[in-house]
Amino acid sequence: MSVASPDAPASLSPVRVAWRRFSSERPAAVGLLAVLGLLVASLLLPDDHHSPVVTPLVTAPLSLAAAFAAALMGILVASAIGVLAAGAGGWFERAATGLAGRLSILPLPLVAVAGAVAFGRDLPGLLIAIAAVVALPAVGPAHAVMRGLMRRELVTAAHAAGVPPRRILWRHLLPNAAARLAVAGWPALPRALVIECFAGFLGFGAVGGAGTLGTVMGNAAAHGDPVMLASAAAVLGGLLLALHSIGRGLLATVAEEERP
Amino acid sequence: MLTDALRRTGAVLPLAIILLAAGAAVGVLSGGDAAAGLARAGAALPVTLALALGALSGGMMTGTALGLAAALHPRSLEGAAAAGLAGLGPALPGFVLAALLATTFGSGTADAALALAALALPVAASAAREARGRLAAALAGPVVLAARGRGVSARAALTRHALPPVLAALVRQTGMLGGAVLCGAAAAEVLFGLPGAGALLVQDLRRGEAAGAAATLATLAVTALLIETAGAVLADRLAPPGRLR
Repeated sequence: MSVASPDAPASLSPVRVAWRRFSSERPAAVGLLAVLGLLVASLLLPDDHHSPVVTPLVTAPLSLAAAFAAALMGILVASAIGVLAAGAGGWFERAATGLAGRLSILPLPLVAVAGAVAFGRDLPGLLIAIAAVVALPAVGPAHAVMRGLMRRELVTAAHAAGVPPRRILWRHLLPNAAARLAVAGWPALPRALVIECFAGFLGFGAVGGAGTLGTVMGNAAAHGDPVMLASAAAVLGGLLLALHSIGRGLLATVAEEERP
Repeated sequence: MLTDALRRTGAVLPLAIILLAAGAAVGVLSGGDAAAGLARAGAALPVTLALALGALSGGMMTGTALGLAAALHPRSLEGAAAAGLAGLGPALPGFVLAALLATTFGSGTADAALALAALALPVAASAAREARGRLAAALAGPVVLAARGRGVSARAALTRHALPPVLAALVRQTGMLGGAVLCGAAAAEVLFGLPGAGALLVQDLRRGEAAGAAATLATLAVTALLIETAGAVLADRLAPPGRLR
């Protein structure tokens, strides 16, 4: 299957075209390399809990994994709400998107921390609480993606050809929307990482008792260890920059891509 | 302006009431004194509000000035500073900066100023990024082009046509950062020992006092809503008629 885009030769597979577009955004490629490098380093480094260099690098993948799980749940929920809202239209569309937009300006990390405490301060509770709050800002972009797709010619043509709505949804809308929804929801990942670290920093993190970046920073702040704190903050900052850069690269990847 | 303010406040009032009622309901269901929890949160709120509003206004003014200067003089020192600040913005969560400042400089007389600086820096980064991008787009946009085509001077085109919508959008954007700043304020209050609502919430959560925590969280949520509403009202005031409404 070829990709309908001027910069996509017919001989290239969609995956190679996507990679070409992604890697053309140099910060995105650097960000991806940085994240992969961090993961490899965490596997190779010894588990030294006193080294200000090693400890943040070893604990960062735990935070990243927790954030990834929470963000994935959040994106799925937000995408489902966005698809439902765009499909239903009317008052439900207005209510769902309006409420999600209003709620997303609340102090969400504090809401997540309170939710995690209410769920019993275990890992599933923390992840569910983070997923719930990162889903809120992702509803708007997911809804916009679906709204945009529903106005495309291929959907209009399918309607005109008498294709049933359910088949349009499964055959045309969702295949075209999947990558876009994932990219639209990508900011949920850095957001979830910040919230996970915030919870750990305040002493409400719960990743099976293991240390995460947030708990490392919280302990460093509590014990007045500026070197460990700065090191962990630098790793977190680098991860956040890398994730934001990857998000921009993914945005370039799905631009003008379409499955007929 | 009063009509706009009333309309916007009326729009968020039902949600604010629901949030406060939910906070009180959690307090009652957990066997606590919801009214006392709300009163405690209200008493601690001024410290949090002072931190949040100070950080939002200070960060926005600094970031906007840098961002506008960067858009007008991209190759200058301030242009480089704004680009650097804007680029680093996503890597600067307020609670991390507060922890770094608290650990480096320790507790002392300048605690509130350090907390304010830690909270203002991410706001400044966001404002610098937005101001630079929006003003550059406005200067190259059709409104300024049309004004210049009618013989309006470059300075007048900037101040009368390009800046007002940019400032309105920035104020609106900054108002939406209220929730994030309140979270940073909670961490800063804990770190610097300031008696604010954020510190109260963390303290209640650590002690497992659901009633107090729910009331304080509801109070902070309503505060974020009101900050966003204030930003929207101010943005309405700054926006030229017919645009950004």
